[in-house]
Amino acid sequence: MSDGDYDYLIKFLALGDSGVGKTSFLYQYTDGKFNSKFITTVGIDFREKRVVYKSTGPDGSSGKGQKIHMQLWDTAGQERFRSLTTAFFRDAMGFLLLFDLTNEQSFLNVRNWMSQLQIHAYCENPDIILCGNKCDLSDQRMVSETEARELAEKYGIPYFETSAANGQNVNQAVEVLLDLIMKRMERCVDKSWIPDGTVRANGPSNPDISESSERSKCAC
Amino acid sequence: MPQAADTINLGFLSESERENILKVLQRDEELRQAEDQRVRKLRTELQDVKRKGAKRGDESYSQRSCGRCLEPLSRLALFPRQCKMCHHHICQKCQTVLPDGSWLCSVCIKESDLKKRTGDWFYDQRVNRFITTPAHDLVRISLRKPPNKRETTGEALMKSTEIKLDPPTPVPRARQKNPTTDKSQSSENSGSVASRESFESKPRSDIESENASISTSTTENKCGHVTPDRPRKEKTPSRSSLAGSSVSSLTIPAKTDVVSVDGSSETNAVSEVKQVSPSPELDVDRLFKKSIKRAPKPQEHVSTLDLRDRRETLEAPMGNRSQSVPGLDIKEDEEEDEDIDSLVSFHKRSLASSSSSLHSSKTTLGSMMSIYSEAGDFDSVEVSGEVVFSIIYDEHTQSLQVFIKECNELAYGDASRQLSNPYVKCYLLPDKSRQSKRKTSTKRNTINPVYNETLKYSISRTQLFTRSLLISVWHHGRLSRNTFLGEVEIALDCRDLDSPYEDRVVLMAKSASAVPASPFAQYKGELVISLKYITPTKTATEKSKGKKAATEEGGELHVLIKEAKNLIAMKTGGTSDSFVKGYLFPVTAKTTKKKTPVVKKNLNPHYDHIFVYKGLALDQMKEMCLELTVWDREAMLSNEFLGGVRLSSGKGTVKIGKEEVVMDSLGEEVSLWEKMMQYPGSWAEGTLPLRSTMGKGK
Repeated sequence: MSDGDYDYLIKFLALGDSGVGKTSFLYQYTDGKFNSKFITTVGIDFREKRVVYKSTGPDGSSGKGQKIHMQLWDTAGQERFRSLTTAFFRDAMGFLLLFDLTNEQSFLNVRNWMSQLQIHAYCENPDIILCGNKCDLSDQRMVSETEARELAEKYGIPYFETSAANGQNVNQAVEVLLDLIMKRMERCVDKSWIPDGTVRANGPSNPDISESSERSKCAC
Repeated sequence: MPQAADTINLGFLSESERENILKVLQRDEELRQAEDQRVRKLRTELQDVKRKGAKRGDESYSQRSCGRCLEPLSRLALFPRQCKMCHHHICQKCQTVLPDGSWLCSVCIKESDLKKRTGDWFYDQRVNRFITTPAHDLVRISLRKPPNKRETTGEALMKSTEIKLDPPTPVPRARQKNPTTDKSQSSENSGSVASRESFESKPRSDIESENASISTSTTENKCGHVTPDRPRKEKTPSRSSLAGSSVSSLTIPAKTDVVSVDGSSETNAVSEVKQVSPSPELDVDRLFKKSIKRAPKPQEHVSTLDLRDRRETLEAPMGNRSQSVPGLDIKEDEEEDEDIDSLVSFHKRSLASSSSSLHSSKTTLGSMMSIYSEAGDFDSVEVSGEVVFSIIYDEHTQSLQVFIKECNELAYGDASRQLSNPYVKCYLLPDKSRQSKRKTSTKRNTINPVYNETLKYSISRTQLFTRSLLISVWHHGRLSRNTFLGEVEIALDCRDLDSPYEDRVVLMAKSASAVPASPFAQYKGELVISLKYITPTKTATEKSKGKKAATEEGGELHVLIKEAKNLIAMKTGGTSDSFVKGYLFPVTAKTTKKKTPVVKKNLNPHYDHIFVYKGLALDQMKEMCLELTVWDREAMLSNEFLGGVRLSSGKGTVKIGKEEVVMDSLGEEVSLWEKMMQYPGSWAEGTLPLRSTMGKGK
């Protein structure tokens, strides 16, 4: 699995309250399976998956397929592991923020997770997908789709109603995140020849207008 | 700004949780190693593409030829010809059209592609936020160390032992296997100390030379019982193994991974290394006990320790030092090594001229190789004869074995006395350092020497296709200089290494191609830096990367040393403890010397350190030259040179000490410097390939 025959290594990380289904979500994504038994994640874990990414050009045409090796970090939602899990935020290129549609508190905590991400991720506005998980349990639903969408809009991130149990929207969510990352990657590299105040020789772009602007737009 | 602490408190974890997490980290480590190997390959590819185009970065070349393939450009071409990234004029063949219809030149497209594929786009951004280790390192360390407690030496020892058991650093396995990491041969001696110091081509602080001499004496004291003269190959195997083991008695057994240098063999503790138990506590015990108990073992004439086992072997900080026991190498090297010899004499000369600059003149000195060739510190004769050898790759020991059978009809090294004392020397190119040098014994008074000796390189098979083997024959002048008798270079990429067929190759004179064309020919990794010139009028307080740099009267040059990538491993375990040193010329030497803190056990260290040079006018910068050199910190010995960059306008000369030195900056080194001058107040950032030598290349 870990031979070097791929074009990109993309690292994602799933986060959210304990029991919202992060592990199940990733298990469904990588293996297409579901285990209803709840096994709490000890600290951290990761799963891997190879996919082929086809970039879509501005005209909608799809380019050459690129082999992606995905490393999907799974984190413990439990508070006691917090210092450990947040340390791993910095290594991830994109994030899957999950909450449980049947648990309102997990939805309210999305805000906290977002601020945790702002502090610990590689930049202040990393790519994040919000996932309301367990959408198959419609009779127990506590969070409406509308309020979830509103929150996602507020943060300017995509929202998906997912089910790790039946696989609904699981692939889509990850694919959208991958697409965001690949596009961001292009932008980061593209930027390097656009002379907009940033001066570079051959290095990465590093706008240094001021500390604050750099933070807020994350150089991308 | 998140300022992550050195460690996080993980004391709350239970034993099984700890183990669980370590297992995950281990899996991650494996993935990262594969990734590092892949990235390294990509970087080599880029280096190759880059090398093909002579013009790099600098726009001032003739616009009539393509900046990449150097073919003349047609005047009638209708397409836009200037690459928007590097601004070179590019012929159509070297343009790559992007999906949006625009194009880039072959190098720039490769560079931006690499930035994506290697994940550099990500790391380059992250470095703006964190001055910290990656999570896996942080967690690994935190899992071991009780937080907020001063370490005792014992703890430190244990920590480093444990760390070695599960290697924490993102060091690709490939590099660990690489013979360049072979510390055993990099044992410093005064000769190479001198040479390395002088390499830097700048006045040295007394402290450092002091260090060097102190280290020599202290280590000599430590190993008072070591047989003073190195076991020579002429000696009986049992003798040499005895001497060898007395050496390793002050070394940690696992560290005696001595690969035979020149046929003579130090004993090594292969068997012991392999028994090392994974329990840290136990290992620490062993560290001390075994090294004393170990009985001398008769060894093969040539012994190798598979470097891959390093991952499992334990390491103690002391090991590094005791490995470079002086006195083992000095004598031999000073007597026999034509290159070291020349370097020593060079150093003496340069010392005499009260400047330790190697470059006492404007002569072009490209590299180690050219240094001794150009120094002419060897005699040469009309080359004749042939060398008979075979090369196989031994899967079992993961090593390349070069069997030197014999030479026939060699030239006389000492023509007047019709005498030759020939020996054969090998380098596994492109590594031309002492670490890749292997020698046979010297045969007395013969032009048809029979060696039947095997020279071994521990290296993974996959790495071999980029290497070639340089076999040279030398006459050992007992009292005079050594004489070059001929050489052959064998490419390993298309050679069948599974059947030991005997090759008979006619010796050649030194070819021009044997001399690396530039200091960049050898890949030493990269340095990521940002430059900013702050004009005197600006009095605002600049805040950058979380560090405050107050501006005063007069312009300032800020040099942000971000990180280095893919440094060469100098220490056992495949790591280096590196720091960056900066000099700005021509200012009085001492005041411009700056250093970053040492980043330990990391081949991709993040320094995030700013050098501030004050009181500079913008016009002055054109005449100035900034040298940044990366060093491996060696506590008791002299530091090892890992590479460097020279930033300047690339024109004219600069006074270093008393000497006028050509500012030979190339490519990015020039363009970055110019960008800095062009846009005062903003950071000019670049990734610069490290020079393998600070000698003035072409």
